[in-house]
Amino acid sequence: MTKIDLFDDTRAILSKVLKMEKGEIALQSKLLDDLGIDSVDFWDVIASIDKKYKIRVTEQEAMKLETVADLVEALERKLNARPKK
Amino acid sequence: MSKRRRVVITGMGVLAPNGKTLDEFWDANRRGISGIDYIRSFDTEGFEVKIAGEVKDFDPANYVLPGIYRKIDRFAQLGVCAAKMALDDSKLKVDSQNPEKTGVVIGSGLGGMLFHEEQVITVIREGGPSKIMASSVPRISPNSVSSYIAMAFKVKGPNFAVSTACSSGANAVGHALVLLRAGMIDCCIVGGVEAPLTPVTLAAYQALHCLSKKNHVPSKACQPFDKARDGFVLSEGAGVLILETLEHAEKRDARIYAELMGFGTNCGAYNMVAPQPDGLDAAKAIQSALNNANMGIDEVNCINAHGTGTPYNDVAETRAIKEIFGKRAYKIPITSTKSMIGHSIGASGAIETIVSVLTIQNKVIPPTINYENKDPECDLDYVPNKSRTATIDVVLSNSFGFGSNNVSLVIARYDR
Repeated sequence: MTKIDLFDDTRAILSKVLKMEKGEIALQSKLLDDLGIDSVDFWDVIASIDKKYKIRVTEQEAMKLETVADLVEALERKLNARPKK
Repeated sequence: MSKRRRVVITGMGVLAPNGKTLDEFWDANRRGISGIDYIRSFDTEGFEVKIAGEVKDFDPANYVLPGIYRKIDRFAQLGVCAAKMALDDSKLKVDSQNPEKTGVVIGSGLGGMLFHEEQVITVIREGGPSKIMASSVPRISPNSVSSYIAMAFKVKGPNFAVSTACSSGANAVGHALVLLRAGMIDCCIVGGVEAPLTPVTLAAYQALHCLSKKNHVPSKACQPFDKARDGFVLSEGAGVLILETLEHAEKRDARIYAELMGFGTNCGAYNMVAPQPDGLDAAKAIQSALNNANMGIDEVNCINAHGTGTPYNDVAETRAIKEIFGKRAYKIPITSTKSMIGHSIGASGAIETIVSVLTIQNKVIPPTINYENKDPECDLDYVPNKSRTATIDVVLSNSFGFGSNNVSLVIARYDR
């Protein structure tokens, strides 16, 4: 999976949870300041990621993320760290 | 004995099926323009009832920031946006020195029904409780509207939702009056909201056989006090008012619309959906409101009725009015706002308080439209079909909710 694909999937999840248009979500968008994500939104984002990728992002990990790019990179690391079948 | 604090109305905001600004709303009411039409927000295939009062082309982005409106159900969006309009109208700046002296009291009978249904469908379709959105509780809770009003406008005083079905909005206005008179707050953002136009909610009201089935000409379906009336038309909306103590309003040289004089409320302990046929419980709420206002029956010169258009409410309300006013009942013009905008449940009492204020301000009584057939059991003056010019000093506004919950408010012209 390319980084662009991962960004597209992440953006789709954020768009659905936050009820925003995809075009409003950019790689450099700040999760709190630009997208207004709060702790309750984060639970829904984490649940959607888990459902799609079977990856668990903990709340502690989520608190350290500042931008959409940070989130995409965190997902990429976790996907790459998974044992290959 | 200390003098009772006087409470005045200094701002209003309304989102209704026939108007999304105060001017547009009043103009439509004055001209007898209905906001009832075929339901557009969902497919009514399989429903007996296909009509409702929708707030048309409502976009919360026109009023508040995405950080607020994206987190709440439609009912709360209507409330927050109406609150914004009311605050702008009043020019009230919430006191940064003492935000705890401004309260928020909002009535809603049902809360976030739209989101609730969407989540139920999601859970069932996608298999299990883990699929529900984490933000469900905040979006569904009736007090999300009062809390988000507080967050949007940094208001930190007493904050609660009032839920008494069809009288929620009126009860909210009344309880705000109590808080203001008690000195707990100096200002209050108060009102009622409802967004009940969802498939399951419509089906639920339809199952009670209380809705009009006159789908053929939607604008003519709601016929309060008419012999051919067959039920109310469900609608959505929001009405928000800014109440202040007179002292606070005068200190900031606020424009004062009217004075809130009295509040009466009770529960008839009769039935969850049917009104007590003799109207005596509702009559007691009316008398209680007049007593609270220190006013007699001769001072009321207009009544904004609950006037839903159901066979039972309209005759019970007529009896209640006659019980209190006696022969004078025949001389008081009675108007039903619901004839034009339908029944917006928790919003209705607050919207009708706004209509009462505008009646006094503009010296025009809006009509009860669609009145064609006289009912011998409803034989009072319902201002049929055309508005009437009149100097009105005191309006009694009635709201009678499911659960035998009766509320009456007294609104008067403000004289210094």
